[in-house]
Amino acid sequence: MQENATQNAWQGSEFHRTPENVMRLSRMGSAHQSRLSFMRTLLRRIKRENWQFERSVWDINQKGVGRAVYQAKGPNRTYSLVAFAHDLPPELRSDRVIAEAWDSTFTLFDGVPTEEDLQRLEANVPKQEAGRVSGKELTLSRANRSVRLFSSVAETLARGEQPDPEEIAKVGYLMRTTAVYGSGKFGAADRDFIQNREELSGPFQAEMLTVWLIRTFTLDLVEHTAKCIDADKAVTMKPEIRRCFGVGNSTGLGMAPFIVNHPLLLNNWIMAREEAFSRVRSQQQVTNEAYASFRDFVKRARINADQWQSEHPIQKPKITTLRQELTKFDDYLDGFDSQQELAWNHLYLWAEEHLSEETQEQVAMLMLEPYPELVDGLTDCMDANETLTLIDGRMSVNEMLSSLKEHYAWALEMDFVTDQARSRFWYVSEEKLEPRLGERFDEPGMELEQPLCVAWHIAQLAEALSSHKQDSLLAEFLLANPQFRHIVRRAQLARKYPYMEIQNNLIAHDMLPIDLLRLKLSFFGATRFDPRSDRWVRITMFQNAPFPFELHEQSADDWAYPPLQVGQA
Amino acid sequence: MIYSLSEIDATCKKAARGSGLSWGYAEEAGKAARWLAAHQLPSTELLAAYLTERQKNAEHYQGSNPKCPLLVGASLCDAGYDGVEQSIKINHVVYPLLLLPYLTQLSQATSAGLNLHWLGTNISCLEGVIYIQENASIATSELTEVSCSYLESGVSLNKALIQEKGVLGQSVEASDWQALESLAHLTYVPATEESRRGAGPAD
Repeated sequence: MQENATQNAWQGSEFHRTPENVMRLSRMGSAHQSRLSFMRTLLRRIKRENWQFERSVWDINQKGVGRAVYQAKGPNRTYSLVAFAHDLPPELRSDRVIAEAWDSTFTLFDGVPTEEDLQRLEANVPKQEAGRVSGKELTLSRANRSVRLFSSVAETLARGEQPDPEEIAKVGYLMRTTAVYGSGKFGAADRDFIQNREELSGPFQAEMLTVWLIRTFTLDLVEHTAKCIDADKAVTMKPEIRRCFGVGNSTGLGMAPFIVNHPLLLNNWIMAREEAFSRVRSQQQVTNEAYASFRDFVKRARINADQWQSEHPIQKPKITTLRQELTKFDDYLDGFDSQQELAWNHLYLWAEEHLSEETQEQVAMLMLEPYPELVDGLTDCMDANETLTLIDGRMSVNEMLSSLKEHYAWALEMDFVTDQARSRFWYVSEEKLEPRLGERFDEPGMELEQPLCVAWHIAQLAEALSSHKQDSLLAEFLLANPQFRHIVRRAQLARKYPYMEIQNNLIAHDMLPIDLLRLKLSFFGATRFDPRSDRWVRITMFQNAPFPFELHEQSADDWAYPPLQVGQA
Repeated sequence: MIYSLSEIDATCKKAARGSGLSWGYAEEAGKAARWLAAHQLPSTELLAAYLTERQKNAEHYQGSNPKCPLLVGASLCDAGYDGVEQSIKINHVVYPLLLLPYLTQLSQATSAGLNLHWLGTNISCLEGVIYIQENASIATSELTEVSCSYLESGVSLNKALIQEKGVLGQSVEASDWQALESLAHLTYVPATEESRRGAGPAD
């Protein structure tokens, strides 16, 4: 419900990075995963709570068609990944959201499905958006094979050989998901239904569990395929080679508006991250143990950067710079006095001065690694109550205007006179009901613009408020100007949530949607961002992570960077 | 068919926008429908009927003395505590049940119990809980005179009358959903080859 809107704005300490610093697209487009990321949060919990796993159904035929069920049993509830494997003709294999058939389709079932449930799901899940699921299902997803790697791994195993880790590294996954729907989509259970369950209260935990179990399915399927090729010779994969595979994911423009449409969630994610980082920066003394751990993580991040491939004209040079700068940073650490007071803070200030944003963000997230006790608890603060708040209509027009000047100075400084500043517009396409970005002056539909151009709307609001009677009530202003109702509500929230706004013009001619995607995906825990245009990106999830059946004997949280090679420690 | 609360919210929001309401009103309409649906009260059928009418004849429902429950509900919320300092009469709104989510939110924000009454219907709201005392005309579409008053503090209400709020979706008539989708459709832009290009993987 509505909280008191007149509460004072949050003030960070000298160790907190400011919203003006971190809420910029260029920095968001350099974001890296951290201890706070949703994949890592999930696996830490599953290990801590000693979840049990069972592949209760494996009914896949020689052609690789059929169904499978994986049960994940937590202390209070069981969740089941229901997987359907299909025989997809190559000409239908498309990662576009407009595709209508996939290699495999999935749902996360709340509990253990009966045969009746499985039959209902079999009639719907393979159709994805064109089917219906029910309140018993928490997610809906699909994946396509990386055709070349899947076949070559299957054939290698069928010969009784192990796949070459270097070949695996070039792709990183056997299948890539092209959508993981949750939160009530297509009839699935609403977020309201699960948000009071401790294990699913954090953001995207049901989706992350789905993807992690899908990863297991993809490995089981490739081993099954190998057996079908040559039942006598085929071998299973060695665990350390198996772990080299993650799950690929293609994320397109449709996801980009998410962090604009969920300002409180964005605020809470960034606030948790910045609070974690400020806690580390404010440590008076750094123990030798913490410093040694950090140095290991820097080396592992260097391996990660070396393995990270992208041909994208913006990302490729960023990776090259990251590699060079991490080497330079590692060299700097050789002579760095870690015993001085506030050593982390000094180190970050040095990074800010000498390194690019891509490397600064990497270094900042690496500094969180040695401090689970300072950082991990903050994952409890990353969900948000997104109930629509009441507008405070009793404030005066003048007070609202002052508030804009205080909290949206960055937007009021922008010049929206030129066409270039307004050259794009966000809309929803009739074809797939997906968000799209159009060219305002060249394409039809700008009258149907979605309200994602926050800065422009703020500028228009400020202008209208300025020419209104200053002492009249905001409620009166809104009655006469209902077109500002949504932006007034948003602007009133900004008084309490300093990290909720991306401080850029989201309709400028040079805005890069991949920056929005990367920020979101970094919180998921994604690595190896590989933009394929300015509007969609490929990533890998859960690469090097333990599998469900081995989690009891593996660390739950030591996989986000590649392991050190022998002799490198 | 059963639709999830978030589907009801999203579709009603788009339908409200499609009917000509501003984004701010549309967001509120979506949440109002969600709230009513969570209480298993009439929701989508009221919005489907009202928004369809409104889209054809908006002037009839707005203006200085609006008959639109979404505009009136929003205005009462904007006025905050002052708006319901005493009993108020709301002259002539259509689909008066659509006021309930707004007034409930106001009641919670001001920590005061409220009573909403029109001929044949009487609903109280205390600490976010809804008590339906009388419901003979709860889903009326008629132009209705509504009175809204504060509950005396310390009042005790009959728990047997509580209308529970749930977390499951609600069954929606196909014709109502179709009407909402038709209005929502007015907010979409036909895709062009140009707009598809680069939006997602093409391989």
